[in-house]
Amino acid sequence: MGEQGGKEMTSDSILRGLESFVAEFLLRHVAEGVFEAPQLKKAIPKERLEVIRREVEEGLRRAWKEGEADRQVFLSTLGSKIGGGTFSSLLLLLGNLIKRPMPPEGEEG
Amino acid sequence: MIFGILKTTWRLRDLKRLRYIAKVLIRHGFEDVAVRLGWPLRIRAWTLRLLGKVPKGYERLPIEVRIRKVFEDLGPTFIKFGQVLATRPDLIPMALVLELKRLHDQVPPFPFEDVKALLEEDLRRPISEVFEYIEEEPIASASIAQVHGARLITGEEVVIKVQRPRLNEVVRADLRLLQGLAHLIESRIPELRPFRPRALVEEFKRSLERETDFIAEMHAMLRYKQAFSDEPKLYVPRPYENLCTKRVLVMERVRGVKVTDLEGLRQLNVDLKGIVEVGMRVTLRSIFEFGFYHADPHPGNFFIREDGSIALLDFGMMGFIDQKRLDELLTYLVAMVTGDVDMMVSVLLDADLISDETDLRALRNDLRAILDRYGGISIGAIDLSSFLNDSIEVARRHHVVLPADLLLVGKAIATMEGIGREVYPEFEPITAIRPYLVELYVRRMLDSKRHSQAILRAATDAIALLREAPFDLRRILRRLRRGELSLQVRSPAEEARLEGLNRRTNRLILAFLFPTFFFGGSLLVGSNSALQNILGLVSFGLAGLFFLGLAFSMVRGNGR
Repeated sequence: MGEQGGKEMTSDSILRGLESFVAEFLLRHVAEGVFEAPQLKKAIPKERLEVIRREVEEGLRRAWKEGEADRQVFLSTLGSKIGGGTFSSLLLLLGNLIKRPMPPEGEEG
Repeated sequence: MIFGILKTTWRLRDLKRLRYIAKVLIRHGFEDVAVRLGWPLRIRAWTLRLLGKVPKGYERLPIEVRIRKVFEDLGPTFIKFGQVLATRPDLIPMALVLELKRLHDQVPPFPFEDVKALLEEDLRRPISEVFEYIEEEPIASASIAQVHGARLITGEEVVIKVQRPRLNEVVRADLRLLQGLAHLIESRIPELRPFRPRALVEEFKRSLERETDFIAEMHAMLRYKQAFSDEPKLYVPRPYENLCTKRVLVMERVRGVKVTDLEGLRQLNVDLKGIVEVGMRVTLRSIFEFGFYHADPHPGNFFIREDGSIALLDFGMMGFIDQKRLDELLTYLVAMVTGDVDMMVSVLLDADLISDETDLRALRNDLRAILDRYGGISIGAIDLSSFLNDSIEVARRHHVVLPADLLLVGKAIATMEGIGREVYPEFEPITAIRPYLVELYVRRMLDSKRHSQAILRAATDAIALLREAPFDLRRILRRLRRGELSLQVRSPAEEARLEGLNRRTNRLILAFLFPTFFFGGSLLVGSNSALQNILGLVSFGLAGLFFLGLAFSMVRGNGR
């Protein structure tokens, strides 16, 4: 139970950390371009567009700031998955593949 | 012929119904179809021809009308199937779609005694313990159920939707027949194969199964009510959960004026523009926010209450749309309302809806032609239904396979537009829809949570793939080494050759059985024993049948 709760907390942290990066990226590099698009200005009245822009940017800023503390969890998970864990597990898998005896004929589907 | 009987898997009790189907087909000028659909229908067709009962008057009617009449004559399940076909303009020609839309499933009500019996059986108590009274005259009667007004002993006004007695048995039997017929059509009438009859029947089966489960309908009502709790101008009646079963649905009675009763609406003195805006907003939100929408939004299911709110009824047919499809649809619609043809084609490509036969340049040109045609009209005057129908027609022409869920979405939006125009003629659907769609698109595009969930999902899938790949590769290599890896190639010519071989084998067996039983019969008939005489006659009868089977097989196969 406790372990499961711990796992959930970690996966929440990973998601929040990742979301924080994504939010920062969207806010810094994407939002400006989207809200300046002529099709958007044509489709939505100016006042409404300002409201949407404010709400969206506030949401992104919130996600960025709220997840800042969890970025480390995400990065270390990423590191263990890609830099360390997955690479080492990949090596392990390959090693097993070489070392493991072939299964008997009947075992394979 | 014997092997034909075994192959078609008809049950004996289906035969009567099949004979009737043949009769209906012949009545409306589809004798050739009946003949090509196998022996039970063929025999009936030939018998009617021999008796001179093949009518001629049908020739004056267009084929679409005759098809509609076939569905009408075959009863409720087939009428419902016809109605489902009418929602597939991507598969069947528009003229037939329009004709099938005229199918109504109004059927005579079933006796009140049956209503009472079914209620008591399902609620497991006398109805007097639950209801103060039930109106004997139904409010509405259709092929699946009928609706009665009632009052609970606790004083609340309710309506009871009661399923037709033995509906499940009838539907099951008809579905089995439909599946059998679809199978025969696909195998014996190649020109009808592009309409994918088997897939259509399967789709219909799923939709009918959902529609005949009132517990699912009750859940849909509760879910809709919950989802729109922030929409004060939408009213979803409350179901009485403890009084609902698979065949009974008890819900709050809603009083109001039908949305198409313009005189009634004027008397209510409600804000018509507001009603239409709420209707369209609810339709769009249910599709794009919740991915869960009313798939049968015909005007009869919208009532306007005294306070001007819209009461939505009948949640038997609900549509579902997943996030991926939602993104595709939203992007496509945004491209459409902003006139971006390249983006439209790119969505179709990404969604894997374009077949190998599609000429992309021609598709692009046709889409641009539509946008140009409608672009010349003022935005308020655009008829959304015609616009969608034209787009679907283009899709059909270019072999773009539109999924059923997308078509249902189109139907829901177009129906709402139709209601909107009727209630408030100044209603401009594109003006109402465009800002909503574009806003939703922008919000989804800049939704950090959605993107991060998608990234995480993709990463998890990639890791799983990486983990599995060496083993899969090893298995494939191993099978290759052992020579066990085989490639299956389907060849129509080979299949035809095998079918011919099969037919010839059947004929050989019949040719062997006929003389055996004939000579056996000759030896038995004329003896002193009554039993032997009877057996001899039976033997003659069987010999006759085998001979006829052999003759039919040779005539049908043209000697092949």
